Amino acid sequence: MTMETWQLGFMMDRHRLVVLMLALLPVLVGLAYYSGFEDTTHFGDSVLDAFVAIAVTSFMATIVLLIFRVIKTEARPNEWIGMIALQAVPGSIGALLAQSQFGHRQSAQRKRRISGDFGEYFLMCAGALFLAANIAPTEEVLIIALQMSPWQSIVLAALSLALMHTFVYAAGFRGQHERPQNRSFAAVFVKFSVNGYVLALAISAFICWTFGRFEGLTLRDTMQIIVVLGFPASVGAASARLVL
Amino acid sequence: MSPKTTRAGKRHDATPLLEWVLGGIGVVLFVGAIAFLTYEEFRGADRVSGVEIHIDEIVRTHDAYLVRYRAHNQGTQTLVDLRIVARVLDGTTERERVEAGIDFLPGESWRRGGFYLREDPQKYRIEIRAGGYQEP
Repeated sequence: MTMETWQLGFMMDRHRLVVLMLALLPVLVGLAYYSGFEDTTHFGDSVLDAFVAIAVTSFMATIVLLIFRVIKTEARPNEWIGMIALQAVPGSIGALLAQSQFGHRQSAQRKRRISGDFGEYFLMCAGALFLAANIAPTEEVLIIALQMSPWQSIVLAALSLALMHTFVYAAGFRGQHERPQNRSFAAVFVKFSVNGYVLALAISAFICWTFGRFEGLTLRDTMQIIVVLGFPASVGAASARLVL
Repeated sequence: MSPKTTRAGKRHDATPLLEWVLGGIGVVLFVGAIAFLTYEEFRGADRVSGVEIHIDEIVRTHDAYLVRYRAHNQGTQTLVDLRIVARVLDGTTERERVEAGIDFLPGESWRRGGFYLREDPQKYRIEIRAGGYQEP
């Protein structure tokens, strides 16, 4: 809960906030399907779980923002609705992701769902969205991007990619994936790590756009911001593959 | 939450009532927020207007006069780093001038602040106005 997050809640363009919320819904439904509150067997159950996550997160965000006195009694609806809506984006993803960490073990059926390529890519997007939405509002992303040179951006991109691959296949974390015997290192690297990084960059660009981070910037600065935010987003994408 | 059976016929029977209630609340909140934000968007682009400043009270402190004010943004655009200027005037002569700032003043909202003045503002005329701001 950084200050920038609740300030963006009333400052960001309303149509961008609406786009962000509409984009969130299928992500929540997908997360509920792959790793939600319970062993959902039908699409309708996943939709219901997604809205439960929104309700729980909105309630908690309201309580916490009231306790912190961020939402004041004299605030207009435009102010506090925006704040709570924005808090609900990472919050509801977190509510569903928490189940994979603190809930019961995943069923065999769900493991099979996740192991499909679409499931892997989807979870990487959700993980990237979770971290990117938390970090993008901070001023540090812009400051870091503006003080970096293009060469440093390239190094950061390479580092993000290497970290992503190491996280999933080499670091020995719980949930580490084994490289399939019939596939070469290059094939696995391109299929999951390179593609995953591209998805993390796309998510970063989308989040930066919704928060108006590109306003008045040159193409170079715009790309550097995406690469900077792509660093935590790629870690989020890799982590999602480990924890789910 | 209880696990659900894989048989579609019993699926909804296994869903606890609380989950239906929370899901319903989630739908209302989500659709309500989308509708409200869309309405706000179509109500018009961010409109810049004046900042109306009211003096709430003047309090004597041990070494100054505290003038507590309320700044009301009459436009719909958020004003960032809004500067508020207070001048104590004796006729046309400026006896004192102090500045204060408000980090963020959302559209159609108000925030409170205060000035510490050396001169007694009740003996003279006090003028408080917005000085400048940044766009978000």
